[in-house]
Order: sequence, then C-alpha cells, then structure tokens
Amino acid sequence: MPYGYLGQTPNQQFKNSGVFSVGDAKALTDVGQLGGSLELIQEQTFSSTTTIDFTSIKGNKYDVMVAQLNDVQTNGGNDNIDMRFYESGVLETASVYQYALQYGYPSTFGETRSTGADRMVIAPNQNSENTNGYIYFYNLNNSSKYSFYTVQTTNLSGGNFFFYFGGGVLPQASVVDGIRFFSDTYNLEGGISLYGVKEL
Amino acid sequence: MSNLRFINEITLGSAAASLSVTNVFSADYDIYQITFTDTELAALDWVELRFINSGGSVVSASEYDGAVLELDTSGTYGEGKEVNDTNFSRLIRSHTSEAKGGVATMHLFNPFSSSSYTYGLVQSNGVITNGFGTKGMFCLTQASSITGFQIYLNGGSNLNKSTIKTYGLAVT
Repeated sequence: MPYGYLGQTPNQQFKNSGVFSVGDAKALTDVGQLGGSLELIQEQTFSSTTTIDFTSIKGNKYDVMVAQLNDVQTNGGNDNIDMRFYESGVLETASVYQYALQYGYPSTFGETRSTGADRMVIAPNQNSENTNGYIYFYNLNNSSKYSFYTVQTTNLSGGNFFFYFGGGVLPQASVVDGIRFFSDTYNLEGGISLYGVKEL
Repeated sequence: MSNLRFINEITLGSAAASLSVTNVFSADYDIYQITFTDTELAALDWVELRFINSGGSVVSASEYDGAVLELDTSGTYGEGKEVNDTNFSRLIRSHTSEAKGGVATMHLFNPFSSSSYTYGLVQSNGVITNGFGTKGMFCLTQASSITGFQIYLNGGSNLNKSTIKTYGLAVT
C-alpha cells in the first residue's frame, strides 16, 4: 500500500513514497476515504448581469445540494433576488411555484407567500446592499418527485438588517437540471457557489 | 476538503411504525448535519423525533422543549410550542404521496456529551394541499450521552419510506 503511516511502520513488501499521487487521491475520494462530503459543483462571480445560470448541476449524483450566496446585491436599486428552475433544459416561467418565507428587521416581522408564483423568492426587497445565505435543494433530478428548497438569508436594506427564512416547491414531478438566479430590473453583483452533498 | 463527513445512511424500504438511526453520534464530532428525503407516510401527519441514549434506549422522558414556525404557502403561519414533552413533535409535516414526500436538514449540537443538553435546529419542506415548510428548534433538557435518534408518526400510522443521511462537522 503506497500511502504514509502514523505510529509503528509496517513491514511492507512494496516501496512507500509516502506521497499521494493525483490518482491515489481521486481513488480515495471516490470511495469516501479522503476529503469531505461537500463537492463544489460550480462557483460563479458576477458584476453586470441580471441572470446567473447553473446548468451543469450534476443532479444524477446528488439528491441534496446547497448553494451559498456570498455578498450578492442588486446593483443600482431595490429589487428581489429570485430563482427559477430549468426542467429538462427549459426554463419554467409559468405561475406554478409555491413559497412561504418569514422575514424580520429591527421594527417588524412579517410573512410573504404564494401558491402561484412565476418565481421563487429568496431575498425580497434587496436594496443594493449585500445578501448572504444558503439554499438547500432536494430531489432536483428525480422525475417522480417534486423539487423542494429551503432558504435562509440575511441582508441590509436601507441600512436595516433583514433576515429571511423559509422555502418552496415546484409542485411538478419533473427533472430539474438547472437553476437560474435573477433580478427583474438591476444587474446582480457577488458570488454564488453550488455544492453537492455527497452520499459517501 | 470540506469539513462535512459522511457517517451513515439508512433507507426505509418497507412500511414500519418507526425508523431508528443508531450509533451515529460519538466523541469524534460535536455538531451533526442530518438530511431527510423521500419521507412518505401512510397518513398525512407530523413526523416526530426522539433520541436514543448510549444504553440503546429510546429517551421518552418529559424533557423535550421545542418551538416551530409553520410556513404555509396558502395561509397564515402557525406556531407549535412544547415544554416538557415526551418527544419533539414537529420535525417534518409530510404526505402520503411519493412525489410530495417531505425533506429536511437538521443540525444537532453536543448529542454525545454526557454533561450537555442536546440542541437541534431543523428546516423542512413538504406538501399538504400546497407547500408547507417549517423552521424549528428543540432541546432535550437532559444531560446524557445520545448516540442516535428515532422518527415515527404522531398518529401511530406507518412510515412508508424515508432516507436519512448523517454527517459530522469536522473541526480539522
């Protein structure tokens, strides 16, 4: 076995370099014996676009994924940061999404919900100030199940701290193979990383 | 390398009154992430949770406190509160349909420590008539070493399916 050891050195029959080759590392990672259980699928940074698409999400490998939003903001004014799914390569824009979010800021708590939206809201009333948070996705690639998400974000709006949490569903048993983040009005700036939660 | 480490996966293949995940918490980790998918029930109901201690016994003492916000896409949100209950009674609100089976991610803090209470946070989603999610927090107010947990239904019906994956959050 060409790997390093701690403690007593075994009386091995082969030369041990003590160094993992790229092939060694990949082989061990593939069987869950090296590395963690989050795999970066794609990271995007952006500064002048209204839409960010993730269209190679490796859905056949993961039934749970997580996206991390890093300092995402609308550039120039007040707008929501929203999300839609691609179903077999076609962006679903019909009023079929359902979501329920709780929000809070220093003076008020409130609710925002829909059973027939053409988008999934993840950070409402964003106002040119940074949004950070995470979104879990479930069953995206499964043609016999609805696609769910849960979300928790924080941001500033007009100098006030906001939080949002909740989730939603695309209530259609379909293969979701892409995710779009977008703003209707303003360019988005920041970064989003999509990870698969490995099953080994 | 991420610090999320896979520990265990359990899939319920046929209907049963409960599903236990045993011997997954240890001194190796203080914080755990647990995902639930495909939670299909024999009757529309709440999935409840109890812990299993290091002796292998289900903890059913009246020492569970919890609070849940019920995020209903079609109506005013509800609140669930419990003090000194015998379980955490609102883990996931789930459905009888495979397509609509509930999902959740739960984090547990200090379950294995015999000198700390066990705390949990959970965020779930499912479908009743329309989408229905939850955000909950709970505590087992008993300083004991917990090594696993069990889920079952409030009304006594069977779980038809569920897949549970347990991960540890490494500090290295």
